Amino acid sequence: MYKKNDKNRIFFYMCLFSIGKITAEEFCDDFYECYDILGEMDFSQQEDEVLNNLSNLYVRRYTPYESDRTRFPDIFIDDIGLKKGVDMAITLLKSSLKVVAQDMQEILSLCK
Amino acid sequence: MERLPAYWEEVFSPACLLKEPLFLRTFFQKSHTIESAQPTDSHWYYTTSLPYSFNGKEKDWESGFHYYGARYYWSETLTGWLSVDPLADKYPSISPYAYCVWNPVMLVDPDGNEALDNDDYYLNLKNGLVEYHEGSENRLDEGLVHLVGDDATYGDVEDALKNLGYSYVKNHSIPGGFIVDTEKQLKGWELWRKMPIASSFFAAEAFSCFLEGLPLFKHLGRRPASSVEIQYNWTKTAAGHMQDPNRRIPVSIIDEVKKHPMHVRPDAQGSNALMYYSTMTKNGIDYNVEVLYEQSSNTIYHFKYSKKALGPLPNIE
Repeated sequence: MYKKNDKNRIFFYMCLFSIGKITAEEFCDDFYECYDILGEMDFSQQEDEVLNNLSNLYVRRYTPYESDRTRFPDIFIDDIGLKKGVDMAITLLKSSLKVVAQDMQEILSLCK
Repeated sequence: MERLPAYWEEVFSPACLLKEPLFLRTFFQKSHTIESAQPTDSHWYYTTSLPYSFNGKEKDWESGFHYYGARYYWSETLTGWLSVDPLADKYPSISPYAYCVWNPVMLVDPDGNEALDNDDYYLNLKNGLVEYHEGSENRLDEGLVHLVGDDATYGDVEDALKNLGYSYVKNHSIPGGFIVDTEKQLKGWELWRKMPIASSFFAAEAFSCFLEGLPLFKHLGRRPASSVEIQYNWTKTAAGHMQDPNRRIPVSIIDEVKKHPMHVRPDAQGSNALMYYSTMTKNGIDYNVEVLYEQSSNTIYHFKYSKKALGPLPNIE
């Protein structure tokens, strides 16, 4: 398993969420802790740009609460909206993901 | 004498007792009697009713001046000295009438001769501000945590706050320069004061416990909502994040970011809310902070702290 300061952990969790192996809440909590709080990973400029957009446009807007999404549809998104953002990020990061470890390649092969 | 009942009512009102219990204790220790109180039109009713008021110096009620030993001080109009500084030759660039070089927050002048800065830096648990007080150790009764000595720099104060594990935001527009989250320690301090403490050893242990993150009080369970927390509406999502120790930001810091932001931007998603940006320090680490707040509904929709770029704030290296 990847450590929390390993950038492959973020890619791995993105793939796991994309194929439905973990919930949106699990993905968001792990992404927030590794990317925003620890922030120790050595990303390329392109990777950082893609992940920053994912963080600020999708992960931070995800809520499990239906009532919040109904009352504030401009602000919050659901699992489907989050998955759309994650899939888009995976597409943009495909070139980075090609150079990661074998187990990641296997997970990646299950992604679109 | 007709005003005496009103005076007693004011002094012993719940508001006054809550606000200044220590002052009242001092009041009785000095054995002032109510007969010595003088009526005054000042709003500092429970201090100006006593002969010793501003900085504990005796006030002449007829003239309104405070006697300091070397000189008289006029607090009501001039807020300065009435006579020339006996050491005026030593400080030619400073007005000889200036009280504490016009900097009474950082300097003291005990007898009217010379402004001194020999007080140490303390954190006041009651208001979360860095203040200047006499002494070099924690002052338990008053809720004052000693930070650094009188010769410390602004950076030393910040280091002391970091070492003690406080979350804070810098704000140069307020005295002391920092807004510190003291919510947890304040609860511990208040509990400690209410406890029937059997020995000074136990008192010292209890005090050090709440300074070191409240292990003694952890069993007390969920923290009650503070008055600042109550004054906002929260989305379910934001309220949920407040219960998550990884995501929680002290309400006092959210409040400070909103009141004194480094940047404000319209919400990128097009809602009526505004995004407030600033920086904060938690456990000695710097973070960017954003708070999405709508004024018309007084609602906090979202908050987040991150080492990564947020809005106009760059990555924190």
